[in-house]
Amino acid sequence: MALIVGARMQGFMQPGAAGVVRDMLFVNCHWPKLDRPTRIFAEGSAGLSVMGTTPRNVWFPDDTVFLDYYPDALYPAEQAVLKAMPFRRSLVNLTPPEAEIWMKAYQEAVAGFPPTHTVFSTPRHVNFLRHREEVSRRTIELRTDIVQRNPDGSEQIIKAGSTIEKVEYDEFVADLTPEQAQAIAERAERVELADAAYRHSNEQHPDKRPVTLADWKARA
Amino acid sequence: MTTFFVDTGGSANNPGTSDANSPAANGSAATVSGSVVTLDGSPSLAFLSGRTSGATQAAIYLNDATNANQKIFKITAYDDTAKTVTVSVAPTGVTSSSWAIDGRHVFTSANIEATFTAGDQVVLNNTPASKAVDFLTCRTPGDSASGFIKFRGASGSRPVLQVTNTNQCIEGGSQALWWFENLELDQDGASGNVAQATGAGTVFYNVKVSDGGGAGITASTNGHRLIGNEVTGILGDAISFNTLTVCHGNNLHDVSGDGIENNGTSAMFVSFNVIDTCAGRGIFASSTSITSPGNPLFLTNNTVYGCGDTGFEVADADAPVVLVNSIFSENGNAAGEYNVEWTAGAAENVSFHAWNNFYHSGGGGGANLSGLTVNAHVASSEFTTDPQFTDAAGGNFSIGSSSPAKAAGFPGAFLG
Repeated sequence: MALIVGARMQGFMQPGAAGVVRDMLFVNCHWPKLDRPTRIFAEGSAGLSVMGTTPRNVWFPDDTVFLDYYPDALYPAEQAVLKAMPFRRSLVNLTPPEAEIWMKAYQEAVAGFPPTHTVFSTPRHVNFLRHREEVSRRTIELRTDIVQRNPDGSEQIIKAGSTIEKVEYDEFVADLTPEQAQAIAERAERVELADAAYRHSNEQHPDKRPVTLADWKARA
Repeated sequence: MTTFFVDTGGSANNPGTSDANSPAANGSAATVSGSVVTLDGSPSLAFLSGRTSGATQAAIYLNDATNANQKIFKITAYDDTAKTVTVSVAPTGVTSSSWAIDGRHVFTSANIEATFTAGDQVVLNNTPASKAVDFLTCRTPGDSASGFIKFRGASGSRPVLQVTNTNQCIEGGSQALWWFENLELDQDGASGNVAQATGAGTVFYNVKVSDGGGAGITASTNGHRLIGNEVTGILGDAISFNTLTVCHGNNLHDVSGDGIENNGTSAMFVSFNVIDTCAGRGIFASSTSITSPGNPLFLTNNTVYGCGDTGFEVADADAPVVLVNSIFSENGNAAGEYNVEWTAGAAENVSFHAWNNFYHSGGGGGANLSGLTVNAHVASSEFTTDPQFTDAAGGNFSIGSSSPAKAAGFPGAFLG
């Protein structure tokens, strides 16, 4: 089984975007920030294991294993990598040799722990619908020419003096059960969901108006 | 002022080493009735004189035979004749227990927050069990006489405070002058912030926020210092504040929101941070009411790279900003997003900028600068060429000997 640590996965936003992946252990990876449960691994992916931080809204192949781990071994493992790579500020996209250093130090730390040390479970089901609600909009005038790259790869030049709009949003989320999440991840034609109330994703703003699932459906 | 050591393998019978109990008085069979604890062994309690309130208030540690019910309470009164102490909260589930007063307390329960007073220090030797409620609520403040309440991991360790739902790892409560150090904060919810700095003068030092459904650290009330922290993996802003805050030497990366958002009108001091691959802005002064020259936004020696929106955005045309010795590279990937952007007015109106490196290759549709004219204040001090990071995608922002950022700052300093 291959090992990757701290991989940046943010670009994989669409179903199947990560391609076919087999026999891989993901450790503390930076998962994509998805608005709804999504199968980012293509059909045929299998043998995956996940350890560490929460892979929110990533819907994994059925045989994926979510490993327990010792949180007190994370720090010595991280320090071992940073000691070997003094210019690193954080564990991002570790090379295979660095990932091996991480795993070796992790296992050595665990071997020395007494039975009273705490074990954490890697979260499996953290699934939600998220939507953004516009709170402000402003028009700005471009001061320089810019090159706009389209999704199809083509480019167009937007000239200085053109106006564009910048929009600010508030985010809202509504929790999903594993069954609801699976139905959405599999893109079922008919998804029966309770009319759940959304809550503001930043709970410093409790005064924000909750919106209903119907609101979300209307915007989706 | 007490040091509380927290260890999942703690015991009242430990020998008094650095993480074990070394009490001034102890026994093996305390009897609890309501809030009154009767102590066996007939100890002299004269040493408790004057220590039933205030900064030197004593605490008693109660332990059962299995270490499963270890608790600590502040002593509010004592009777040296009856050999009893009255405690702050009636113990539950403890009828007969070994006990210890003073010294270093070792226990497993993390339900200890009500016992802290100014000057107390809590040292976690290892990681406590996760919780489905706020992990720690700051019930009492530190003060200028007795100092901070410190809550930290032991040297050479970084215990993890994990919350398994949308609650917070650190809830502000009555927080003021609290100090958090050598900890990792992990919140598994689909929303909700991770940690609050709500009371004046709170310090987060060498704390890693590794996971969260909302913002990483949110700060309100003046005078917070966020130093040497790492924030990653969260669904909101890495650091969000609305009052005077110092952000120094932090590494903020791979978050869904902004690296730093100042949504208030107070001064901020942002220095020596690496802000990398945030989906929102790198640094965002979002208030449109920052008009007082006495509240400058001071940014120096920051490296901001690869953010999905503008690298540094100022919403207020009258915001007094000092921007020096920093690198902004490849931020903004769509029309209307820039490395650095004054959305109203211009950086030359009331702000100052010099000795910076602004580089944007034009990829994705973003552009380099809006509302800022290079070298407007100091000739030949700013440039727009590639800073040549060693491995930006892998998080290595060191610069090589051929980098234009080498010795290009003031006075002769490296940028970023």
